[in-house]
Order: sequence, then C-alpha cells, then structure tokens
Amino acid sequence: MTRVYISRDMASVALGADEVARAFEAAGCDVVRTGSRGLFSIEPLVEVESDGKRIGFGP
Amino acid sequence: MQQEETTRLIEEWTQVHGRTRDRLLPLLHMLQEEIGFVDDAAIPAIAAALNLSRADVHGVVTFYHDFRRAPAGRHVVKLCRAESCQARGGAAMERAAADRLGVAMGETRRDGQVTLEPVYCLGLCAIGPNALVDGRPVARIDAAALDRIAQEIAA
Repeated sequence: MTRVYISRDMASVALGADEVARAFEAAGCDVVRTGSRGLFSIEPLVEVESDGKRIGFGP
Repeated sequence: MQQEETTRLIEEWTQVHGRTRDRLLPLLHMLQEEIGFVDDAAIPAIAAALNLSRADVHGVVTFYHDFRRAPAGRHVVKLCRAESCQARGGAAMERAAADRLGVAMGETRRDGQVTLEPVYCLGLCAIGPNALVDGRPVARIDAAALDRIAQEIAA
C-alpha cells in the first residue's frame, strides 16, 4: 500500500489538508498525518513514500 | 425556564468540580458550552455558587471576549483583523464578507443564521487573510472562498 504523509497542523488544515487526506484515504492509500515543514506556500504538501524516499507534491 | 436550567447546571457542575474561586473560568466555559452564551441574568447564581461578588464574575465575563453575552447565530464566522492579515488585503475582505454574508462585523444576521466576528490573529500570518468558520480554519480568504463560506452557511 502506498504510504503518504500529509501535515495536520493548523495552517495545512486551513489550506485544505483534511480534504486532501480524505481523498487519499478514499483512494486506498495509507495516510500518515504529520507536522508540517513550515513551507506554507506549498501546503497542502503531500509526501509520497517511494523506494525509502519521500517525494513531495504541492499545489 | 432558562434561568432554572442555568441554576440546575451550576448546581450539578459545582457538586462535581467544587466551589472554589478558581472554578470560575471552567464554570463559565461549561455554561457557554451548554447554553451557548453566558447570560447576565446568570451572574448572581454563579457568584453565589462560588462565593464571589457579582462584580468579580462580571469582570471576568466581560474581560474575555470569547465569552458570549448573547446567543450567536447558527454559524459563526470569525475574520482576522490583525496586522498581517490587513497587510494581505484583510480590510477589503472584511467589507466583502459583510456584503456577501449580509451582516455587519460584530453582529448576528436578523435570521439568526450567521454571526460575523473579528478575531485578532490565528497565527497563520503567512497565508492570510484568515478566518474561522464554525471553528474550522480557512486561509487565503478571497472572493471565491467567501462564496464557499456563504454557501456553507446557507445550507
């Protein structure tokens, strides 16, 4: 199962992280809610685990 | 009726949590949670329950703006008016919000559907202007976001 990391701090939530997390869960991903990296200009940031690395995707 | 309910709530709550003066804030929180606001008419009962003066209770209730002294609308929109949000266009959004929601800042719409209130900093300054819609944070408020909020409130 693909594991994705999505922040759940207030700024991320204010930018739609909860909706994004629900969509990934509905798609069958293993969603891990984390703290953010503070890069609010690219939240909601989704990090996808792949080959032991995390690849980040922003809006 | 409301008054009896308030007295009963205070009595039950103080039996569990005690009647010392440090119980005042938790008691006020409980009343706001249960009834939605802290009625001026409840102040004598609160003062009597905790052996405080009415002035003590009045002072605390009026000091904290988050304690409501009148019922709010079914939905509450808090819009940030602090410096960072203003620097990011918050003042214009405040006017637009009042217009779009049909209620002046600090007031409840006549149909009781929404209350628009100011808030001073949600700590999301990098992504303002910000709002809290029924407690949920919403960043980068613009005309489209106000439309979504207005739809949510109409539902």
